[in-house]
Amino acid sequence: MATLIANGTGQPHDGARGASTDPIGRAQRWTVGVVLAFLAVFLVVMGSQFIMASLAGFAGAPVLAKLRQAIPVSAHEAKDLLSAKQDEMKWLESGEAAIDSGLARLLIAESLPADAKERDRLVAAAASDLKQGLAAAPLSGRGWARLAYSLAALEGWSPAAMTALRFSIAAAPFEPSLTLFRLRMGLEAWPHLDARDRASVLQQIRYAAKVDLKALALLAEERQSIPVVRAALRDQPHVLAELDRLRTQTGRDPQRRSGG
Amino acid sequence: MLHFFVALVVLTPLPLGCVYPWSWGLLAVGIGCVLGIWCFRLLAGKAPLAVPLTAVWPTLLPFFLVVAWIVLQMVSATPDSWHHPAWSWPASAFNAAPSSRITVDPATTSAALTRLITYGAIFWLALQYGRDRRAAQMMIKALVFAAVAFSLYGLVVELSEIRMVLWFPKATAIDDLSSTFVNRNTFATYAGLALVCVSGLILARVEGRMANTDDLADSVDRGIDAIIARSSTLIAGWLLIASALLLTHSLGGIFSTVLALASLVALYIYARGARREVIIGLATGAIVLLGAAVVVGSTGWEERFNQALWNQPDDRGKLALLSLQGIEERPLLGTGYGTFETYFEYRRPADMEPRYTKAHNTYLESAVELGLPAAVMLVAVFVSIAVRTWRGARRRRRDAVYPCIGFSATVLVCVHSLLDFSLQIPAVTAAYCLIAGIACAQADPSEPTVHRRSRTRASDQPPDRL
Repeated sequence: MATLIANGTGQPHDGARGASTDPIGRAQRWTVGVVLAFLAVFLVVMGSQFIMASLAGFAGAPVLAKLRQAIPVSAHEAKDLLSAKQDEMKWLESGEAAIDSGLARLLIAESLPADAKERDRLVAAAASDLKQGLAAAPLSGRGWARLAYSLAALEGWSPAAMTALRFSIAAAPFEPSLTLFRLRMGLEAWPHLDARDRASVLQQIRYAAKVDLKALALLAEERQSIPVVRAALRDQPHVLAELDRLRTQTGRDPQRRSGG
Repeated sequence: MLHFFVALVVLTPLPLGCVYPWSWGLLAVGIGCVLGIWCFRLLAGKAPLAVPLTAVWPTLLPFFLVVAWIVLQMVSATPDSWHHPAWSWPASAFNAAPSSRITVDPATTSAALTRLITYGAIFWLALQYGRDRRAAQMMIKALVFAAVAFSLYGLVVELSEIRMVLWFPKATAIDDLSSTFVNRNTFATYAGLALVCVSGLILARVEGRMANTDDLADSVDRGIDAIIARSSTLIAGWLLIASALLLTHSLGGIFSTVLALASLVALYIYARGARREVIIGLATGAIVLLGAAVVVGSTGWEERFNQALWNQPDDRGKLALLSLQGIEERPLLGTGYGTFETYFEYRRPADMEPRYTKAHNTYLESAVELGLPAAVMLVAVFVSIAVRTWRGARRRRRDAVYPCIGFSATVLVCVHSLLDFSLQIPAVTAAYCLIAGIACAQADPSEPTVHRRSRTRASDQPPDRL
């Protein structure tokens, strides 16, 4: 039985149970039915993908949370993270998952002795994961930083490694969790950098001074890069004074190591 | 099927507001199944198209244009000049040639698109099921009861100082009520939506009793009787939700809710020609009650007001400027739906806190992600809902309260979106879409000029018996 319900324009429209005899009503019914059925399938497929990818990645979540808080993780935990991210990637093509997978491989490699053969293989696999991830999500500062690290470990400060470092700074110039990691690489690669890249590293030093001056002081000492750090901070005498105070506190002689 | 649909939507706040992919993925699968069955029944001629396309095209057209644009952002078939410059980086770093796109992160954009289509499906199903007045009432009541339960949970947790969200320790706003949501502002919007619904139900009940007499004193007596004797459950629910809302200490949430309640009362008076003095008296009473609770309820308010008035509460101004910069960079194309966090990391200045992942202004964030034309289309969806419900409130004699609720809910979410990101939380948007769908369905008069008697009988029956 046809039921007439007035529509917004005051014209009756088909609200019938059963097939409509009105050709416009039937066309509308089929249009709505087919389009929405397609969207229903889309929701079920996409929703399932995200559920499965999340469930697969669950085991890696606590490890990532630890890393976000800068808590060291064991090789076993890194393996859990790798396994979780590999499973996640089976369900969902995500740049982020591939980048985290690369990180897990790097962490496992780090846990091996420096002369272990397996180490280079893992770092190469990490670089491959990172490239895959960056090809899907190119604006990931973390991904580029990790790629720079793996390429530098594999082939030294090659143009590709320096480009990766440059893109990491371009993608996330002021990311506190990356600053010291990138600065360590930037100071190591310093002799190979051109003027533009050096300017980026100096900018990172200024930012690191704002984020964690003590860690910067320790890093500068460790990398024997006090002159570079002092040059970056030369317009901020109060920060320089504080840097020297921190270095004195940690048992260093500011004048001797900084070159004055 | 109707009950399963309603249960799915009203339970969305339970898993932390459905913010995690597994939880909104479940919602998407559930809603997809309901929509699929509804389509099957429609095509088989067993279910009606209760509200036709002609009635809601001003809402559907911009929605589908936005969806189409997001799909375009994700595909690589668009001109290379449209694509984000970051796609050239992999080629220059390691000679890879990825399929470049407008969006900087297709996976994030596909996730955001899935959520958007889920919201659209909830709106559509609420629109179709909500054409029946009993189903509409059941859905609104279910939403209110769920909100009462979540508010009660929030109050118990807050007053017992457990400082947990479900079984997770609270990480932010430890002294504020957030119920099962991670963010107190988000719960404030959700509670505000529920408060609008329950206020509408009380208003309709009271006004219905009062309308039967011309004598003011008798009318007031009947109104009081309607409140005390006939709406005690609703009043208790109202008080619980309002208390929970106040304890969120969310200035934006409270402000938007008060504005929404004011718009509900104003539109109801305007639409129904109700006794202004009595309705305004009721509304004033409610606002005074809210105000009194603010004053005596908690010490957190003083701190919040001081922070908002005298100190810089956070970086919202800088976030807005950063968003404007993003719009200026890619005004037509955007960075990709759902990619604000990536954009923010890319453009964040050194003097800004890295903790933000949202622009705290949904309009600006949408414009950054979608580009201006598509963002305007997205806003047009809400404008069309507001216009339809406004007109519906004026046109309808019976059940005018539903369009009024829909209009006020739209006011609430649109105002709050100027200050925060509640509409980006699935549980809040799902609740809003349910309300908006019902309100739009009830915006058309139920009694056409023809077949009046048979229509009235038909409208008393559910649109289908799924």
